[in-house]
Amino acid sequence: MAAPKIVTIQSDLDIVAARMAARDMAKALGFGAIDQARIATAISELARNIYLYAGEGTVTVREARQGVRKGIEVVCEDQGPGIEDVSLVMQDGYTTAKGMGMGLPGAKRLMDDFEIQSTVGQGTTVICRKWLR
Amino acid sequence: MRRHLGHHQHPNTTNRRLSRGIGSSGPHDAQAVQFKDKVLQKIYDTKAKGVIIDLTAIDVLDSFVGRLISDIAAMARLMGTTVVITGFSLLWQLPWSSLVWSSMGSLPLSTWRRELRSCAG
Repeated sequence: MAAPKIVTIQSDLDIVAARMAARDMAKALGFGAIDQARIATAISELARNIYLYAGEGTVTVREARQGVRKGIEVVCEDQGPGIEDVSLVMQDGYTTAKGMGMGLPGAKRLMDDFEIQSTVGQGTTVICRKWLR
Repeated sequence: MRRHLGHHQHPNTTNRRLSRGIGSSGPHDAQAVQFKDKVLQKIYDTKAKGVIIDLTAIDVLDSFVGRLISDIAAMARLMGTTVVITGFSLLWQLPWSSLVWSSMGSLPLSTWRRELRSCAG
């Protein structure tokens, strides 16, 4: 079992580190090149959200297991301002001035499972998984 | 942009590598923004008719990089310059279409070789 990797997000350099960690883990778990690109792209979006909106947080990349299924699980956590209306930010095209309006819904489409929990004033946690086929 | 143009370079084309220093892990955001500023400054300085942006050094084409490239193209167009994208990895096509197509869909995608040929007339 591959060891989990935790990347602390504090600068834009850490976004690169987070997506590399996700890609390396995906590769080690046996994901193909296109799925590696999908996972790296999704984590790039999520890590950038931490950097842009919370300032700092962590991205944890680890192996996921569910019965016989094997995959990758990525947990993105911050203690930032939180999201007031989660269903709004999950809509395509919703954007703050900083974004392109596809970070969260785009990341959701790139992964298989996607859960988001957010409390205003306390922070946001995104857990996403992709399963090996 | 790649350097090895060799003898095939047309006398009227100049090739300037603006993306120096980007490692195999791809650029971080600040580098990407610097790249945009440099490209636009070069277009202004040289009055270039066309710009080829080669994406080979990009490891992940996320919405940030996508927006940056479409911004460059939009501003270049305002300055009368055509932008062509090369080095668009096949690996990105599926992730990118999940993420967004609209903004870059209007940019001509091409290969470096084909563009060189057309630059050389």
